[in-house]
Amino acid sequence: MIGRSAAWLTGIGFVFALGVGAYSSERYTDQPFPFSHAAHVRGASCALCHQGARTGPRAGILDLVACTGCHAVPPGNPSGEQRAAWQKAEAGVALPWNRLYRLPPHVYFSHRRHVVLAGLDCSSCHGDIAQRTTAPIRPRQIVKMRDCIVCHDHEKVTVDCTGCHR
Amino acid sequence: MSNWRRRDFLGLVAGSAVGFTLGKLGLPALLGARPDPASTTRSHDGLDAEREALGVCGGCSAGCSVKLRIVEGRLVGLRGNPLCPLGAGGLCARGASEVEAYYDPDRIVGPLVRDGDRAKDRWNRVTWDEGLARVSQQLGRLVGSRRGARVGAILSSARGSMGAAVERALAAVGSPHVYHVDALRDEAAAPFAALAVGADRRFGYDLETTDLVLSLGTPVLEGWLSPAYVARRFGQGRQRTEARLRLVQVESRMSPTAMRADEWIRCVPGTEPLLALAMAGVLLREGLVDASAQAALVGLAPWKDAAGRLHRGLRPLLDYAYSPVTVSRETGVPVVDILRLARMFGTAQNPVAVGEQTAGSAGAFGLGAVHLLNALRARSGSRGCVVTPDTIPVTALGASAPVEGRIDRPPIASVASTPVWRALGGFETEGREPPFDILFLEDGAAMSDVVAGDPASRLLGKIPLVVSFASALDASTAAADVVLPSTSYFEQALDVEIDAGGFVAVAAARPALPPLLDARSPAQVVPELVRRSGREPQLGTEEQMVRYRLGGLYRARRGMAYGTPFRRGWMAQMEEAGWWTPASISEGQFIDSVLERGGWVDPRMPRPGFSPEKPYGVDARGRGFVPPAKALFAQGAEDDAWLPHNESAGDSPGTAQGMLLVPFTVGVLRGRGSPNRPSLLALAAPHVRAGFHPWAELNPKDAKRLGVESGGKVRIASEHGNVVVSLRVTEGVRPGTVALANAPAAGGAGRYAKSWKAGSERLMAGIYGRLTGARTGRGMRVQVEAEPKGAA
Amino acid sequence: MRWAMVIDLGACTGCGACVVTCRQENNVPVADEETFYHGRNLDWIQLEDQAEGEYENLRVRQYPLMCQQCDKPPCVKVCPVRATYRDEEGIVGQIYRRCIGCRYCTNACPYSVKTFNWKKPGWAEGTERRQSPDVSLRPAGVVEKCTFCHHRRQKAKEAVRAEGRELGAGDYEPACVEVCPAGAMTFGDLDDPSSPLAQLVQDRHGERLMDDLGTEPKVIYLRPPGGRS
Repeated sequence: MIGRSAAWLTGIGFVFALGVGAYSSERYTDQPFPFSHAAHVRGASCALCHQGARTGPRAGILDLVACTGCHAVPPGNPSGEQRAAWQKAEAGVALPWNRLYRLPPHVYFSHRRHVVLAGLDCSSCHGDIAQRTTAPIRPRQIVKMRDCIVCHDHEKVTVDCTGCHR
Repeated sequence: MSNWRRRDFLGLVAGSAVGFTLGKLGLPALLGARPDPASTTRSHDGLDAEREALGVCGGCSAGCSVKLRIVEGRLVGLRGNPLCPLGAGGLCARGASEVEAYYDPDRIVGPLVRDGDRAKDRWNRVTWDEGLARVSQQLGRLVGSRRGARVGAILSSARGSMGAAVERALAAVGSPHVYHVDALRDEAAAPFAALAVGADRRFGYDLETTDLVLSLGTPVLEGWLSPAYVARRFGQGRQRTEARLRLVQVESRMSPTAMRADEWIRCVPGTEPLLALAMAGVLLREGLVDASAQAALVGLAPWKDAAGRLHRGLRPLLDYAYSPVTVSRETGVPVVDILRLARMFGTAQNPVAVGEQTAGSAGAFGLGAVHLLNALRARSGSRGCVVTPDTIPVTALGASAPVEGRIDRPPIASVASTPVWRALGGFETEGREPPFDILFLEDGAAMSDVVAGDPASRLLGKIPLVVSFASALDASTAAADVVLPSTSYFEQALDVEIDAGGFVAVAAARPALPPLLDARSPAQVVPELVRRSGREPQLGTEEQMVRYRLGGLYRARRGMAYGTPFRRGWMAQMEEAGWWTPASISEGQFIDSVLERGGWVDPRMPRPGFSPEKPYGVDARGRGFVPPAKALFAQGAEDDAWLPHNESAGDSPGTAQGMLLVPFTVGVLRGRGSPNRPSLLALAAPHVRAGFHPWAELNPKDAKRLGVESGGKVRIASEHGNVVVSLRVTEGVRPGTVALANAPAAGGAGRYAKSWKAGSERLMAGIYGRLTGARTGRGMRVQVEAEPKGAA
Repeated sequence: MRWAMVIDLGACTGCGACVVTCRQENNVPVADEETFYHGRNLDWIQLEDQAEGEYENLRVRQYPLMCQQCDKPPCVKVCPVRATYRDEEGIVGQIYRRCIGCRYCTNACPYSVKTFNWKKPGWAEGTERRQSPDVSLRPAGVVEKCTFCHHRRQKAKEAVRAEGRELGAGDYEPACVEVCPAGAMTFGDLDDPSSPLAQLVQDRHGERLMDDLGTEPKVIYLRPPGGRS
């Protein structure tokens, strides 16, 4: 009896560990400062702050907006680190936001192409961020090639490998 | 497990599923949310993520303007500036490797002070204050005892703002000793230009319209002059349908230049000037010379000087000593070929003969032999290819306050522009004390071919304090006591004077990047040292200096900011007519436009050096190739000694049996800046699969006789030294000769370049041309034998 | 539209700027001495040479050699997973994520211009900063080759679409063509008979390497003047 229970517990524990291993690749992305889109957006378009979406071939999107223009101190209850980063931002160094959406380096994805040339709405990939009061900690979905191809097929746009792979 | 039942098995499966799910859900709760580690980017790859900035390439002293691609503050690429008058958007291989050199993993990270004596290779990392103090202490002592003239600097950069800053700083302590060494030019070129036309700079070569380039040993397509410029003119010349450029390469080895030449003339190594003299004789005899050129050259026919002495003249000498039959015997080139080449040169529309070599000079008189051909074919009023560049009207920084004990003209150079290292070597061989107590070396390229054991190197060893500004470990750091590493050109505001192509230009740029390492530009360091020693050089920031110098261009009312060829042609016409359109903008705006475009260029070529009033080859006092000996040298010398002749035959008695040595350069490895460039080391010789270390080449017949094979090692010995190198067997080498790569002193200690140490220069140590002291050695004899495996 | 390249061997000086620039542009790792001597250094473009004769009559021909972007590529025929394929504009793509490293293609290529990453490419400390963000880094076990810098085409296509037109022949060029100081390389559309490229091929009777094999390469070489080949 004891032997069997031990086997059960070992089995569960072992598989628990496997589960840990299998899913340890999942990460959460935290931001250095709290940011509420709902408080700031008020109906403006995403590209007002995320200007890279309209202008460049580079897949960048976040702009170097210095929040210090309005906020003298970091909002909330800032730690010493946060205050230090804030002061650097006043000197022109960009705030240390953490990147949420990331594609592998062998993929060429241009926001301008999709937002400006194809006329997609930001929420079709990123979801409805404007209503959020906290920064999202995970991307809406981990983008796989299948997601791109499904839409490209549907919209009758190129699915040529060398169009996106590099 | 044999007593397990189905229930137990199902239980195990269920338990696995439960455990798995718990693991998936439970871990984040256990560990808590954590931030995603950022990749190489933080978050902002938005608007200013990518930008393009202008810079000046630091690979050699030619001064090509480049466009830098900077992504998120990192340099990730560069290309040529399409408006650059040298490369017009193209780059040579060394320029293309500047990004690699910028991130050299073995770059010096900050100031170093040697730990122990110079034989040890130990360094201490110090702060800038400490490093500067080390030098300024000595400098202060010299200044205090009014011996400031005992400081010298040898730079590898072209003349420009940095050189001007160093000159002014040293002038403030009373020293005129700032010298420039150019790794891509023959050391004898400047002294020869001084002799021939009294120029204070060497010639430039305008290859735009030439239809025949006769190269007597010059590696035209491999690291000569300005490689980007030469390649551009070569490409254009070859792609034209009218007056298409022909290249005739005269040398004993099939070099990469010879591979691409229209004709490769195989001659005995070291005898190229003889061929030039034979051809000159043919041109004169067959009347293929311009009449006014011939009339203007003094000294061709027998002549009497002011004292009534009869001089034989050059023409009889050519007929007597350099007839085609005689020369054919010496050079191994058939008489028919000599005649044919001479006639080809004599009937081409715009030919040019070049004889500069960078691995074993032909010497001033050897160059004289080659330029004799150019002088004979110079045509009255036409542009010609050999050009004495104009002076560039940048504002001279001049000297600041007068200094007691100051010396204005260097006493070192007894002949104008003697290569400085040969002059220093002269001090050693004459048993004199070194003229410097402190010597600044910009980097290894400033040491040209100084080799361990030769007089210049011994003298260097006696100089009490040697300071190197190199950014990587190289020959200059090996000789130095203190290293104050320099920033890259891309991190400096600077200007560089350009004259390689005959036209004059100034490449200029603002700093494109902040310093990557704890390094500083010599243009800041030397003035700072002077300040710390108690004198004030009165110099501003680098950018202020550049703007000050460029202001002179505006006030001279010449030239324009870099522009398209169309615009340059248009401006040249306007200037000819007396208009200068930039007069409509202010000096500040003009300077801004120069910095924004990459530089300034004078669209007009200098007036031809040859004209009926002032013919080529004749100096201001009206003397031709019988040089102005009376002013510079003792009288009584034989005429023949001063006429163009073959200066390059090495004299090594006792080894008359050996094989003839053919030293050759690896063009991509010549230049300034970090030597640790794996892309270039791998490119050293694609046709024999060599690279990363010097190698020798033997003909299969000789290899068989010596019992060696490709990949094996050989020991090559002259009376001055010996080297052990890897061997390649190739048909491109003349039987009876051994070709050996020259390892310029810029070979360094980085992980890639560490094997690029000793080459042909070690064998030629101590053999110098009689007049200028430039190293010769082509045509000397050496012993070659197999080196057994396992030997060091 | 078929992208092609013409190399004028009469103008080529063999300087190697193309080799160095390609390495920088495409993040091709550098070799150290040992790797070089084992022949394991990766090159997307190299200076290839052929020599014939003895010293008295020696002729050496040296030419830049990169993927010939064949119209009938043998490497595509043999790839079991379609990691390499010929796209609509004639560029033979190499998709690293699909490549299984079987090396059939490197063997099938008659020009030997495909290289295989036997081990993970090493970047000496600090040198990873010079990596261009436009080209991915290849892992160990995949094949790589010259791509006619199609990453530049990606950006160029977007730029011209933003201007409201289609991609034309002058809109992009590979890094090697851009840097060549002698202007020996021309890049353009072989299907456009009025383009400078097509005219060069026509007037100067360009030749292709090993064209008897039926690969229909799209890199065309022009002989040096005087017929020296």
